[in-house]
Amino acid sequence: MDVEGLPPTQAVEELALEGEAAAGSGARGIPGRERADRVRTAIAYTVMFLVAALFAIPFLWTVSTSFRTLADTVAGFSLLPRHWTTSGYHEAFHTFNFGRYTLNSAIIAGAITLSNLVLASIGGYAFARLRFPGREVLFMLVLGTLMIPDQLRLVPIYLMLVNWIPAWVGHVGWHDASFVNRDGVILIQLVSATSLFLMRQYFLTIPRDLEEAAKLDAAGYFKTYRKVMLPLAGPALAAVGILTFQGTWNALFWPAVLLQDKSQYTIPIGIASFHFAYQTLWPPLMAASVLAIVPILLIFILFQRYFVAGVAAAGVKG
Amino acid sequence: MASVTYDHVTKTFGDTSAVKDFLLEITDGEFMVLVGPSGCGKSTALRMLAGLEKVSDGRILIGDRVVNNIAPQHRDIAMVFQSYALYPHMTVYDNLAFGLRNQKVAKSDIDTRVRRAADILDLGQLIKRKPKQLSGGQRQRVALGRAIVREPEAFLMDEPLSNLDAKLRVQTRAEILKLQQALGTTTIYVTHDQVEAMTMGDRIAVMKLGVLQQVGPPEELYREPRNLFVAGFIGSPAMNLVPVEVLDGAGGQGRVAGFRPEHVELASGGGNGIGFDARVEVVEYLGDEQLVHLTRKDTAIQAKLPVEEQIGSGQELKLAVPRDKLLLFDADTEERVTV
Repeated sequence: MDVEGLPPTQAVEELALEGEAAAGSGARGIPGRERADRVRTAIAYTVMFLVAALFAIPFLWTVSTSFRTLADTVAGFSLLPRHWTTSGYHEAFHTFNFGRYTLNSAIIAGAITLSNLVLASIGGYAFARLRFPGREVLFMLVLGTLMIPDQLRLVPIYLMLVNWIPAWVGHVGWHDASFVNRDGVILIQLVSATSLFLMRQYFLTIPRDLEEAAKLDAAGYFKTYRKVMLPLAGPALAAVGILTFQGTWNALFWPAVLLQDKSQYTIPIGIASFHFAYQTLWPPLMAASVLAIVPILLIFILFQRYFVAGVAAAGVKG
Repeated sequence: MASVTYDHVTKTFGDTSAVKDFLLEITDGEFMVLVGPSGCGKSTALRMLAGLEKVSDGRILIGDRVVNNIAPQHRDIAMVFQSYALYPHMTVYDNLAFGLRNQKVAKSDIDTRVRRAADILDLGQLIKRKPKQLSGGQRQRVALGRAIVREPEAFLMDEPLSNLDAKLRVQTRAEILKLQQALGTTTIYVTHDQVEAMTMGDRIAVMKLGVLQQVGPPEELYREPRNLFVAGFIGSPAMNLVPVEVLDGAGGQGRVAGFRPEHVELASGGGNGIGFDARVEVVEYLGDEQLVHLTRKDTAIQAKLPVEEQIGSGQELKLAVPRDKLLLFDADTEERVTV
């Protein structure tokens, strides 16, 4: 259209109406707006970069240190190794039996993750859908356990694990029966309040109609759970799986308390053993740390999509 | 197939009564529509029949079996949900077969029944798809299919058309009717849409605030509504309900006069109708007719008039309602009174 003869503002409006120019972005758009936008974007990116750096630099330094010699680690700051070496990794595997620790961690984290998936989904379904007396109070009690720090539960749990094996176990021939070992670590973490909470919240988002349809389709409680609800809870199961695996894989507290036999040590305890009274063996310590991150990273990359959906859904409905 | 009886059924949630002393007999093979505004208790009545809500008082019978304490799956009914409630992770085939498998029906029998239902509903091509790969209309048909394969004593339908667009709704309405007539299964159909009720039901039960207002065939409810609520609820556009003072000569004190927009005529002088003048506010052109919004003595009146008449806003019209089409209601009790 011809806008030559029109006053400037009207011309821009006419063009905008025609779709030839967006309002405000014409030759005489709002002065300074574009620059303000650019400044705002620059500030936002700077802040994001700084926050990202805050997390990334320690990680990069870990990787860098794992490829140094011990002498290099004490020779002052440098982001990259002065002499690249894989001796840290070699040492982690051969001197400190990193392979064994990895297997132990995998057994413990795997067992706890599996039991959390099974028990939290059953329990979460019950808390979300079954009507039984005291349901809300019980759920509050479960959530309440999140407020008790592990340090406070240490002594009672330790005493329970020591004393709760009945005497007859010894009489039937299991003389060295004990839960102060890997079994104990698994036993006390079979299901967590966080997992139960996540599963419950997710089940609450699944329409009740589906369960009623299943009820009319002659499915009992357990069949409804297994055939209808569980297949729909993928995102929540992914979230519980990742959080539990990552938590137990990295856990130091309970393994340090309960694992007394070196053959049952997990990676975090193994890593802690690189640290002596007068010296820390930084290269093997960092090499073990880098290796320990790999499984978590892989799992997160594979299931990230479901994980985000699961956590988001749990947060939507209270 | 079986009859269904609500025998003085009441449902309370805490202090609130959702359904009060509900008495209704649905004969074998009948298509009964429960209709009313939201919150009137129609869905609760249906859910009690399905066994999804417990009955607080009274009895529900399917055939001559009292089902109050019988689990939903043993009541031999099938329900179509408003949301369809299809299992999202299962194929159409599995959705249809799920109930039969749970009932331990023989595999070959399941296959026969599922394929027959799929044929009836034209789902043959879609049998391997999952619900998210289907259109709204197709999902609706799968939901119906899930009810059909059960071969139940009664179909329970809870607003099954409300998620469809207007055109598809009209089409599916006819399909459900055809299906029900072919199968001859007793059907209880819940809707808030009086047009759906009028077009589908052998009989209609109108509910308000948990109380049954009137039961009868559509014509009866249309011609002889028992009270003001039914008069105003059934029919589209709604019946004109005006104080008798607005219509000179309608007669009576403390009465409300009711007449349908389609019964209003342009007065041609004489006749035995009740004549009145009214001022035209707005004219809605409907194609074959025009809906004229009028006011008389500050009261709104609607009239459906032939399109041949040239009517414009602001015009004063002389109108009439035939005496035999005029209904009178008591303003206090809201019940219809005969003159």
